[in-house]
Amino acid sequence: MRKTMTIALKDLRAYFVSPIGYTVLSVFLLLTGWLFNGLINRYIMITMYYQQMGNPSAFRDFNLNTQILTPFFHNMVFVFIFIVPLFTMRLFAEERKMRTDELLMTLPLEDIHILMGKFFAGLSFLGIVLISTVVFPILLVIYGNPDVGPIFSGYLGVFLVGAAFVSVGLFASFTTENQVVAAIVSFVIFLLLYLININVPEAESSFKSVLMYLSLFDQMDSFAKGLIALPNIVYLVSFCVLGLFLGKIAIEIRRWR
Amino acid sequence: MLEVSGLTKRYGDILAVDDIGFQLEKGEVAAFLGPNGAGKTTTLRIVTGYLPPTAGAVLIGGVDLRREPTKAKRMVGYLPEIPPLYPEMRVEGYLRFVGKLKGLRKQELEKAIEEAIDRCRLKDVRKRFVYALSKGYRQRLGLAQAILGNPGLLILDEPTAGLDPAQIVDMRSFILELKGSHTILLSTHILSEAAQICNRVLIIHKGKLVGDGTLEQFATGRSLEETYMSLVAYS
Ligand SMILES: Nc1ncnc2c1ncn2[C@@H]1O[C@H](COP(=O)(O)OP(=O)(O)OP(=O)(O)O)[C@@H](O)[C@H]1O
Ligand SMILES: [Mg+2]
Repeated sequence: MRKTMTIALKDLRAYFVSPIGYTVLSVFLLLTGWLFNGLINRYIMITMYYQQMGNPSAFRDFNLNTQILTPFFHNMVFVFIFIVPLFTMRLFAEERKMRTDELLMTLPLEDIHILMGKFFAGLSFLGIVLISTVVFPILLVIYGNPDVGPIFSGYLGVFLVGAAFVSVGLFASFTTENQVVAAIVSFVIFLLLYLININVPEAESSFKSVLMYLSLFDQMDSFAKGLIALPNIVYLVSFCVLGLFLGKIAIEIRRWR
Repeated sequence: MLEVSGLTKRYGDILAVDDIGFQLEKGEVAAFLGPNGAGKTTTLRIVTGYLPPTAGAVLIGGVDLRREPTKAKRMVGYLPEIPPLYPEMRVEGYLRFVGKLKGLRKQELEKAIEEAIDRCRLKDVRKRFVYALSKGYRQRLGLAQAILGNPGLLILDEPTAGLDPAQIVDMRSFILELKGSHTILLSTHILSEAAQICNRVLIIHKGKLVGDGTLEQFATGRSLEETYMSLVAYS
């Protein structure tokens, strides 16, 4: 554990001594802020429209939670597609480029120390990124009265989905010494996972439900609605384990080929 | 302390190391000589567990590197051809990082860091960032990292490359200090250096071990230089 933490801390620190950490953080805030702003504007417009129509029954399911927070969390996960590869690509590819892998691989370390150290570094950075977005829901709480529960469950969901993304990005970083290639590999995997949901309407219904269940992105739905459901957590944790397992295989291939 | 047998490494079609075997006893200092591309770095990388061999076995202190890699690696300090440094760290921070990964704890760790800084004459730059170090200082930091925690076997890939003359003398006397208590395998292109500090010479040519003996054995009649030239003569 000590060795794992030593590596995690080193890599977390590395994000903030180079511009990469701040850049990713700013871009993420900019994109989510922009999307949040769009949601607010839409909310105001629809409210005004309903008021003009004088149709109170339409307001039943219309509130800050359903109209702003739920889509806000979905937006964040969408932004992960572009952002996560940017901060996971360096995790191991950079070690190889700088030849410091020769140090890590010859020190008395187990693969699991390197793997989990890198994973925790990615997770911690993800956590920092997410914490910085808390300003948006806080604005809602200050100026409105959303249900607070779904904010917490939503963040838990976003974090778990993000963790799954990080595990894939880390795996990609183990496969190459070129950071750009690592980023593209993880980006393509995320895009494929995303396209699975878009294409399902064409598929047959039983096949469709399987795909829906396997879809990484749909795992967010219940979290965003305020539901912390065990199947979703199990799915996401398993996803991380699978990603890490692939990463472990990638290290082993490097070690013994 | 180090036992290598049947070591072979293929990179695709290139046979970089071809059935090398040798044994180093505790306290021996061995020079690994050979022309560019002979396979020195490749051999050292296999011995330290960075590269897997295509065939052959490595025993460190009696421990099989393949079966118990972590246990074997605990006994090894390794200075790669290119010092493996993190530019964004400070000298001290880097040594602390490596020390922790070697499993050193609090007081033991601080003591080991002081010792390494002292031995490699890094006192003046201990607070500096690694990216701001000159090549020679990087080399010294790489060596400091290798000797950190006092491992019994040191594998040094061209340890004097890029050092200034005073540093080279320093490095040599440093290795002489460790002679007897540590086992050292170092590669070099400077024959006089090998003759000065080593008691064992291994000569590798085109991946094959073409010469292995004590310095005395090599020195009888002919100089090390003559022997080297006759063994690696370009045919
Ligand atoms: N990653 C690699 N892929 C393919 N071939 C390699 C690789 N690394 C080394 N080689 C080849 O293996 C052979 C041995 O190289 P090595 O680096 O071990 O030589 P060396 O004795 O250390 O040389 P030098 O004195 O120049 O440092 C060379 O022919 C080299 O081209
Ligand atoms: Mg070499």
